[in-house]
Amino acid sequence: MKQDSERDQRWMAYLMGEGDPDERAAVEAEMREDPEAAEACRRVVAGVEKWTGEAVPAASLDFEALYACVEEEETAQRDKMLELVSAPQWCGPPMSLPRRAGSNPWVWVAGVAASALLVFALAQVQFTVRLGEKTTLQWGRGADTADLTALRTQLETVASEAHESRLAAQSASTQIQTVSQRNSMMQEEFRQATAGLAWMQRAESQQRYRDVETLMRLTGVYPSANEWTEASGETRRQPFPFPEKKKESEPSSPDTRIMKTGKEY
Amino acid sequence: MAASFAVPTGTENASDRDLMTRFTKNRDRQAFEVLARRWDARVVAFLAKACGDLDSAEDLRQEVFLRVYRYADRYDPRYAFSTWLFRIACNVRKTWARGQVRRIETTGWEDGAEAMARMPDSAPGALERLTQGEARDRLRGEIARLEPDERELLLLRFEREFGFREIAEIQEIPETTVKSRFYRILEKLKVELGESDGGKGKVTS
Repeated sequence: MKQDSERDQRWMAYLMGEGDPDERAAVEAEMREDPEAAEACRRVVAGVEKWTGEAVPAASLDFEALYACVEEEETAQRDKMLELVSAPQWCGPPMSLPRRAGSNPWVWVAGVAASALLVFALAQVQFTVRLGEKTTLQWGRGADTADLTALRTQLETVASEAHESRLAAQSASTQIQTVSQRNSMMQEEFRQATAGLAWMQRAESQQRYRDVETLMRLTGVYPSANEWTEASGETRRQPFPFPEKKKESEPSSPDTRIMKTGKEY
Repeated sequence: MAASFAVPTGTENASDRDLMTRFTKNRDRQAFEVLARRWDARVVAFLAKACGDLDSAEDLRQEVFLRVYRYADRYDPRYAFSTWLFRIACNVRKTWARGQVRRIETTGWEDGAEAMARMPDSAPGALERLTQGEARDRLRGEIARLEPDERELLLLRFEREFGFREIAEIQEIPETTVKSRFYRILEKLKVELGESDGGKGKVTS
């Protein structure tokens, strides 16, 4: 049965003009082998073709009715659009202009009620603020109002003390500046004095050098470095002005050797 | 097939695309009427045979051309006008069929049975009345017993106007499905006729 079904469909396609020449030739050969089945297929195709090609005794298209329907639809659509445009719910409520303040009495009523409620609520609560170790500010329900006067006095005292402290701070600042200036002057004086003292010491030392030199020339005795240090109290920093060299034949003393080499050995 | 009508000079030879373009751009009712008259007979015949009811077909034909008038700007000139037109016709027929089914579902049993009896699918006599001279034709009886979608497919294909590709566009299903369904319907008709003829397979046309 399945093979017959496939064959019939293939033959129907042939009868509908489908298939390439090879396929059509093959189908024609099949149909020659079974002419009765082929005729049944031909009659079905021809019958359906005739049925589809038959005219139907229908009335012609009524354009007047059609245009009337079109105009009716357009009118309905236009009316709907106009209705939508004019409908307040479509475009929302009219744009409200800013109201003049106080024009609505209910706003005042609501405001007064809210204020009264707020005052009442605040009166039911006791607020405490600690302003110091000994000072506490209280207000609200159960607050000690006697403390307010004392508190005011204390606050005035504190303010006065703060003012005096401020003045004292300003005075202290001024004194600090004066002391600082004086300190600077003293530092300058000290520096100058130090410099003068150093100059005097250097001058005195030089004078001592000259005295010792004169003495050594006159006596012909030259002290050793240790003796010089012990005598002058300071370390020699520059070569001592040596006398001219003596003849080698003369016996040299230990002090003379020191003077020649500048070293002690 | 299509009856000849007297059409205004200058438009009778215009192509379907040109007429649609004129109507779309200028709302030229003359072009629309030429186009509608050109396709009216085919559309009403298609609807009558698919629905099995001439009165309904005439009403549906009016709806088809009303949609053409209303949605003309949606027509794509790259495609054939006939494809677009018959797609509208198929949609209108399906909408009509759904309306019939809904009416049956929402009424009582007896009313539903009466409505079912009036329906073309279950009333082959309605289609046979369309072809009064061949009421005894068993092939037409078998065609009348087909599903409306199947009759619609036969009509579209045998009109020679549409190939399987165009039918696939009209019915919005794959082309291979259209093809296999079409030959299955023909084969089914042949089998039914063979059984009704006692296996002789004799068909009168």
